[in-house]
Amino acid sequence: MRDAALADHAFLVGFEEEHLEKLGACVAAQSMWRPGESILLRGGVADVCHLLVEGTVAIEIRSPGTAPQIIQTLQGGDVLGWSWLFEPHLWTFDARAVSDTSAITLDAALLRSAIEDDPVFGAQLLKRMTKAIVNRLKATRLQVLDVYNH
Amino acid sequence: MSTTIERLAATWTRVAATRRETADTVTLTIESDQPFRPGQFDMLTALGVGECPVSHSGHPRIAGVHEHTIRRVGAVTNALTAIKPGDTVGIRGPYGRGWPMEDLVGSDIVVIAGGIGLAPLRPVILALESDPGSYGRAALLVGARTPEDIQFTSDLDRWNASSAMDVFVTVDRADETWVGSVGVVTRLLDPAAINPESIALLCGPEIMMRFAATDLLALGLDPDRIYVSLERNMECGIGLCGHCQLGPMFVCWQGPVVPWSVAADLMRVPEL
Repeated sequence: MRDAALADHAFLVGFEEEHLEKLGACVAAQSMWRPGESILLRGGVADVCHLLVEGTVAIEIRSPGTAPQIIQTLQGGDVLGWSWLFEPHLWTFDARAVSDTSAITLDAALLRSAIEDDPVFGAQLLKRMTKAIVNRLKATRLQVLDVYNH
Repeated sequence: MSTTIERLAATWTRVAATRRETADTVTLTIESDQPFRPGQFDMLTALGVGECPVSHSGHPRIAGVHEHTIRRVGAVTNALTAIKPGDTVGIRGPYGRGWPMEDLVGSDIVVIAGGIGLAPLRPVILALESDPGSYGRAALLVGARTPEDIQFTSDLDRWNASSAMDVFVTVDRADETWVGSVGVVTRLLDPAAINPESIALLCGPEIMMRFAATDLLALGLDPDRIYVSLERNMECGIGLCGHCQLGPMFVCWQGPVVPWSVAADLMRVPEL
């Protein structure tokens, strides 16, 4: 079934109608978090993929004895979580809502099956995921250069 | 017309006030009647230490004082940032080509500043703030290393409250107490929803400007309407000594502000 919220999501602009329907079948929930609520925990099972609709989410890394460090923040229109794509399907970072946040939550097992069952759908979805990952990698490379400190 | 010697002679003038912006950055308010254009710079001298180029960071239409914002990075800037009100500094200028203020009239404007790069853009924003009806929609995108390194925080709050300007701020790293954006400044282009007809003004580390210009081109902006402020080793300020040469250009008088259509190729040459 076609999901109107999915069709309007920035990540899926231009996605073909039949693929939107396929993705709609993977929707598990419309999720909401209050500021400060945990969304993902490192080491947890990556069984969902969140398409952020509104709000701000902090991707964080924690180590004992130190305050959590924010690596990056994500906004409405971003994808939260890609560990569901790769074995062992465990989250590698924490994620926390910074403000009131809502998302379309997709079931990772259904997504993986849909990708395997329909290679065209899979290629289209993975192209978008890869673009998001590449943009995130590019941004991270710039961040580690610490350009403002020179 | 002044002689070369006269153009290289500093005037000694009083520092009326100092204001600490961040742990390593100070703004000096210097008594001077010399008019300047946003984007131009002066050569400032710390007595007995040396001279360095510093962009104007104050309002271009307030007569009698100049503001210069200086980050402590070496001997001369250490001395300049330690200056107290009532002390004197040497000043000569203004030098260089500034931002294209006339072209901004009637246009939407996107200003992208990284780190201390907000200082040379502040005169532009103060001019826009004084006369909002003359310009289109303005978006200010600011990147800083950490929340503690954000410059001109009271200005940013005031500009953010103004209906004429959208202000977006991001930092490269932060702890959990920070509720703003974390990530590179180019990530702010999406929420800022930039009009492709805008004029863009960029100032900050060259790597940041290169990535920002590339993303602006992808959004459809014309390379002749993207301006960057280049930083080189300015010494004389009038195109004589060659220390600031960048390929065929003397940045001190043919810059520091140049369109991306001019800067792009020069910034690709490793030897420059």
